[in-house]
Amino acid sequence: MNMQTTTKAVQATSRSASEVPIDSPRGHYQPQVLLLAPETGDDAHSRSLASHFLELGVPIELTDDWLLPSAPPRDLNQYRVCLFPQSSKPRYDRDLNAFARDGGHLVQTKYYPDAAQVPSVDISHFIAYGRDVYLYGLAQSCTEHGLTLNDPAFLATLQRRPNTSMLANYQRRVTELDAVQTGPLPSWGDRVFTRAWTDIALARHTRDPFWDSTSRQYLERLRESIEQFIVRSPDGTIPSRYLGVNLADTSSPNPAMMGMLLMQRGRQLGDSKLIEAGIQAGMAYERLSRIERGIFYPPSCSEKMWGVGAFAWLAALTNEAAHLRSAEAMFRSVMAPCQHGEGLWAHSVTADGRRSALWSRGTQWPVLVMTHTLEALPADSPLAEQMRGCLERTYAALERHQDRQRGLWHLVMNEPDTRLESSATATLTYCHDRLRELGVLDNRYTPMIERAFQGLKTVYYAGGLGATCRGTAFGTPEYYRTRPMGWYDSGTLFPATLGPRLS
Amino acid sequence: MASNSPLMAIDPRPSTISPLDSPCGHYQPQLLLLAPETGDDAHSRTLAAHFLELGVPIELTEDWLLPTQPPRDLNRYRACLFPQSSKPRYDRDLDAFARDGGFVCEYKYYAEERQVPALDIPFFHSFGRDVYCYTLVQDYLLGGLTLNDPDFLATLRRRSHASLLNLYRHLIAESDAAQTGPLPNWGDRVYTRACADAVLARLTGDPFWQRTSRRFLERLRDSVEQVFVDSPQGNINPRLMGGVQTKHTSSHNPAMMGALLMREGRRLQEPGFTRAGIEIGKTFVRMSRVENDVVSQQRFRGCPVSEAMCGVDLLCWLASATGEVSYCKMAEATFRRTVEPCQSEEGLWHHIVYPDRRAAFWSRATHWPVLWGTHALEALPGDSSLAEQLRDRLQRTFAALERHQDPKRGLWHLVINEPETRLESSATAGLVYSHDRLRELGVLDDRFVPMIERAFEGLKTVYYGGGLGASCRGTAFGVPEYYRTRPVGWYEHSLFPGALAGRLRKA
Repeated sequence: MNMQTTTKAVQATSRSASEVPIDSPRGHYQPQVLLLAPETGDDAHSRSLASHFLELGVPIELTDDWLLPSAPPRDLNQYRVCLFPQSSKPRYDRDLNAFARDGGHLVQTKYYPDAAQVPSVDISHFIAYGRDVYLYGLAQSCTEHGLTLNDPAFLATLQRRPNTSMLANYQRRVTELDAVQTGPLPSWGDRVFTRAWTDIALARHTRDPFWDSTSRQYLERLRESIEQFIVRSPDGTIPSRYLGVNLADTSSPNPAMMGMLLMQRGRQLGDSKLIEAGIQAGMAYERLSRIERGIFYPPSCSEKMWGVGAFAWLAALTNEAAHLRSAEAMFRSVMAPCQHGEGLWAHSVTADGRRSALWSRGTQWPVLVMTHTLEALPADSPLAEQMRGCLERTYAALERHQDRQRGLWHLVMNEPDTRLESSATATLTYCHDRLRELGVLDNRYTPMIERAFQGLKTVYYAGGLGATCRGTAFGTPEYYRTRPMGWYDSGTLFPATLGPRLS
Repeated sequence: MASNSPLMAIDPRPSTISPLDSPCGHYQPQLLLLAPETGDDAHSRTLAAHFLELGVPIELTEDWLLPTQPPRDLNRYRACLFPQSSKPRYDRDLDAFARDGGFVCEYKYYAEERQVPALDIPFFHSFGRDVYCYTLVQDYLLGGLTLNDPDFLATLRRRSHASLLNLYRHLIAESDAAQTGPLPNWGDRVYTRACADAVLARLTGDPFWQRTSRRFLERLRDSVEQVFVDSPQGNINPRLMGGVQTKHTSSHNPAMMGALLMREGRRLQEPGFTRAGIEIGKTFVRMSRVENDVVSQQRFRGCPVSEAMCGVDLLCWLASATGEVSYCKMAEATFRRTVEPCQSEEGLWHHIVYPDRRAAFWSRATHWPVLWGTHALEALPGDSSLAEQLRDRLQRTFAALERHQDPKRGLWHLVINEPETRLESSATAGLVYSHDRLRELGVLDDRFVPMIERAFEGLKTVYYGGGLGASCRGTAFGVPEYYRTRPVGWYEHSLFPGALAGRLRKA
């Protein structure tokens, strides 16, 4: 699909950006697939299927709310392919038989399984991996019947969706999620970081009290979890669910991320409680990390940039020079081996010098951390200057690898044969916006970023993003190329990029 | 890994050095991967498969299996990976090992198969398992493990063929003990198992394989007869059709089973097999779309697919077994309609050809037409025009394969002409098996023997517990990215044991 790039879709992209937004997708393209959500509404399986079809640019039927219908809105013979949930069998089995008799296409299993058919398993990512791969196969099976890939009218329709409508969708999703959770956050990690900064960006750009109160409550819950599991921990141990690590005496980037977030936001709000919790989290990261010859282990992976951010913020808020020295040492130990000559970032570099692939988030993380760290550094400090240079080189490299047809970057950024990947694209768009605000970037990359934003709109579904790579370890090039992808809800920075684009 | 590897010919040692009964002492294990105390499960086999694919030296017992407890001090290894159930016994040891600088992954243990409840959605859990275990294995590379360790690979290649076969025999005996009566499923796994066992029976003359092979075919025949008992019209249960739930459409399964029964019926002089093969074969034709003598599955809507060679095999056998000329015409027309669009100029096969694009050279998309073409030749008069064309197409395929064999490991890749995709064993095994049959039939001379022996040696490096690692899971038709990203794992059924049969005396 990606290899058959034409300039047509790019033209469609720029055309659609200037066209009037549309409130409903109906009537603006010809749906070829009727993918029904379960009667009770979307579940993980229907969202995952929608994600795969959106990634392929196959025109699926959408409701006025830009969602999958849960009942056929018109005669089945208006579609080339029907894909219904198993739970709809009693109601539609005869209709589907007639549809198939008349030449319509059904997958061999006839229905897709509802998410409720899959019992939960307490093994990290196991079910999500199975779901991503299984439903990607089903979506591919549908293409046997001559569906149009990258349908220009469908993509143009998705790009014309009002940004306010996407934000409303995200707002509903956040409200739903927050309604079932109160008290200290049950886990830490990159999804907490991105969710928090999304809400903060929306609060700032929209001045909507909803986002202000949501973002404050969310940070408060994070602070409480730090309070409970770091400050009041009698022996300094942190539960493994917060670290995502079961090994004793070992850290993960999670405390560094949480520390950075709390320190930065605490300073912005003048909230000493947030700052104090952030300092505690940052110190916990340092305490739990393995340091040899002044270098934090593992020696070279782009995600270690989180530590740089945590130390830079610790230095800014405690005035301890040692933290700044740690930040500088860590920065050198990450940047020199990991940043590719061209400007993209290897996810890791092994002790024997083997560089891993230029995985999309392998570039996203250092860009995100540096963007948030610049605020902690005096503008004329050597570290800030080096970071600005790194960021400039990264965006220059990104120009060479953006997918010409869809505007997104690929799962392995310099390998256009790999799948499109949205989470890194969303973050790079968000960081570009922030770096423009900080005066670090001029408008050179604005056209590229606006194409990326338009591309993200084509994979946005139900408050989350399709074409998002699942959690990834370090590995061989084949490993990165074959990562499963699917739908993610609150784990991306796309909603934050809506903020400055609402008017 | 493969794409980064320096071009290095396969170590010639294995073919000149005497075979090994045990791997112990012939390489330096870097990783201690323990199986659960009760023995291997699907997860430990998958983990072993992934490490073998990467050529990482894992500890193996004298039986070439994962140990269930540490055979020596943990500090002799660079990394340890134990099952969750071993936690009460080894948790302290692992903490000490990690403190001393040994590598243990962040999750510390791997989840066992029994932690995953059974699920009636084909492939869902096996996809989850393949990807989950592949992720764990990749994480271990942080522990400084060596990829494609030369001593480890040489040790695996030196494994005696008798030991490889014994493990497969054990697996089959276990699986057959638990099942009697008509076969509950049909499909490529039944087909490859039956083909492998039949060759083992023929070439070893071992009564075990003769008995096992015949019993399995009898169970298949019984399942075919049961179809017509249950439904005089020959409506086939979706289970036997590989989960096809849609009406008025077939899958390859009846074609495969029909051709297999007719072929083995003739070899064993067993008219019951032949009759059942004819009946189910005719049912397949009845359920298919027949246009201008081209027989294809309804769901492909006329798009040529390389797997349609399964129909060619069946039609050749129907023509031979019934003497009806119409089947011969159908075989010729179906062959033309398949081979012309699907086989590339170079000789590899596209999985499907859409009106506007061609699917990738997925490994099994080439393996299946070669296998079915090979079997079809047995049904055809040697001087027929179709036989001549088949021989030419098969030669072309093997000539193309010479250009794409992984120079380091001897296997072919998941997408055959894309060396940056993962190694894939099921097609490699099928191609070795087919090459051997074509040599027996006098279709191929010895031109490709060195390539095939490298492939066979490569298969030995991913063989584990009676099955093969690096096997692609079931695959639909799709865009190039789809084929490149198929999950790969451990499969118990492949044609590798069939390839072993002809090499038992050499080892």
